[in-house]
Amino acid sequence: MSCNLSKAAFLQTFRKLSCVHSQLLLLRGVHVSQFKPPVVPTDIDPFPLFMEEGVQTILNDITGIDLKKTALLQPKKLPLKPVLRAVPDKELKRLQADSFKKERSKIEQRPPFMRARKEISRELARNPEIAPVMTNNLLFIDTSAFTRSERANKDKVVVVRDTEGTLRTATQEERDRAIQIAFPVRGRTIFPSSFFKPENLHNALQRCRYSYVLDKVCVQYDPDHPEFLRITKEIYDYILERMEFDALRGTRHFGSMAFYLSLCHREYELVLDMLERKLIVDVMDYIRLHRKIHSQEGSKGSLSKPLGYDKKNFEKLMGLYMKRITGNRKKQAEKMVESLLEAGLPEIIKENLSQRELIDSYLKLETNVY
Amino acid sequence: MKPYPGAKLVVRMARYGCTNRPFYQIVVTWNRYPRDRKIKEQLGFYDRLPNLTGEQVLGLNLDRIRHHFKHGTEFTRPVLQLLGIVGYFPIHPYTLVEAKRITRRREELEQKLKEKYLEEKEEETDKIVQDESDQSGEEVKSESVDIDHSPSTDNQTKTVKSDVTNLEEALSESITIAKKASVLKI
Repeated sequence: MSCNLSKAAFLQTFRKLSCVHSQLLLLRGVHVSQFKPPVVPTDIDPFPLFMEEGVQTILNDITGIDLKKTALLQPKKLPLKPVLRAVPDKELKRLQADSFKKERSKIEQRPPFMRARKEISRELARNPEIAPVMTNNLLFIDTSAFTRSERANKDKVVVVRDTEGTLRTATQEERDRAIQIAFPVRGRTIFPSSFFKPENLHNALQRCRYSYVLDKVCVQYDPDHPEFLRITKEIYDYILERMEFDALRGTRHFGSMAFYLSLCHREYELVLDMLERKLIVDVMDYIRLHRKIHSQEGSKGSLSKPLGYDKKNFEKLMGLYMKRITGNRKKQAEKMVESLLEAGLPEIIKENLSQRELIDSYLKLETNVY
Repeated sequence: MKPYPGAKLVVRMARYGCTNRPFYQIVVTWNRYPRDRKIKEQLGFYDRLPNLTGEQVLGLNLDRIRHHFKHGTEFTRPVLQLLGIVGYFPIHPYTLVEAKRITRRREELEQKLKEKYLEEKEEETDKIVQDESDQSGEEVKSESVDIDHSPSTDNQTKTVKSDVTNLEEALSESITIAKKASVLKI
């Protein structure tokens, strides 16, 4: 074992890992040379693609809702006394529907996949006669946004008067700092903590705390911050290397990860994972999404309509998909599909659809709270 | 309703913070009220001391400032200066006066340091000349006057030129040291 975990920590992580591939990697010790990190293409603009309704519904469906996992992932507070109640069936359904709706609203707050923001800094005035008075830069922020209706961070005015006497709009870093001083976000620090340094991040990732780290990153940085992109890319690559997709399934980060992998043409591992776990309906949706992202028309092209989820359409989609794969992978995928067909594809599809219908029924139920 | 007869609204800085650590809130109050208490509305804040990144931070609610300006409240000079530096108002003439004052103080400092440096140099050269005369007293007397002049004049010009370059270096060093040491804006 060439990893630097203690025996107890090793056992803990081993138990947490969700697939054989990652367990093997942990036992062997990870080989750096075999893994090629994915490369984000620069010609497609991901943000408008991501925010389309069709894409968002697909990502919602793929993520699903897993109440047990979210209950486990909550930060540890003081243990509460368990509340026991006797409740009629209707009431029980309503309570379950509440929790489902809450979960879905959390999942829909997924961090969008965007490009890094650009530096905007332009000169407004030049007064070198004031320069002797300015011993330090003066960072000015307009706090009138408290009294106005528009609340976007981009509209807030942040301006700096230099020691030379030039008045200019602030750089992005200065803007972030000033906005955090005047309109603080809970959980965000002005100077980034040492949690996000590579060594400490790696420590957390080794203990399989992917969604915990991702949540912290979402709190600290905006989605178009270059640091945010760097850290999320690192985490997604780490997960991709170990094929640990199930750790994020049910959280709000699954959709962004799926989108990222599809962009970088690395969706094959995720498709395999889904086939292994017999989530056929998810596979069909995901391949549809993948084709949409890489279609020639880009964001103008519409998603192909969701044809009925049955054996014929599944074979059709898989055929279209496997035209692009070559070599070993193709054999692997064909084997998987054959085994699934033997096991009884229509029943599996029925099961998946019934799951989805259950979730939909809970979400549509009328409750007082949501 | 006015709290006392002849009351006027004023926008000014209220000093909070601690000893040797000022922090100002920019505030609307009635003019006779105590500096820090009984404020009508807070419009912003100003931190005069530089933070970790070397900046002074100022935040103002420009909408409300505009509202109070329209309704004729008095603005004190420091607040107007800040607004001018920020660019919302034109630059206050007092900032230009301050700038001039600071440049004048800097020049006086430079002058003083220059004179001090020259004095020190003179003392050193005097010492050197004395030592040389002590050592080679007989040789100087025996040689003719002409030979004495030329090398000494050459030395003097050389020393003057080197003096000028050394002076500039030494001056810049001492000025930076003086700037760092001074608490005021010199």
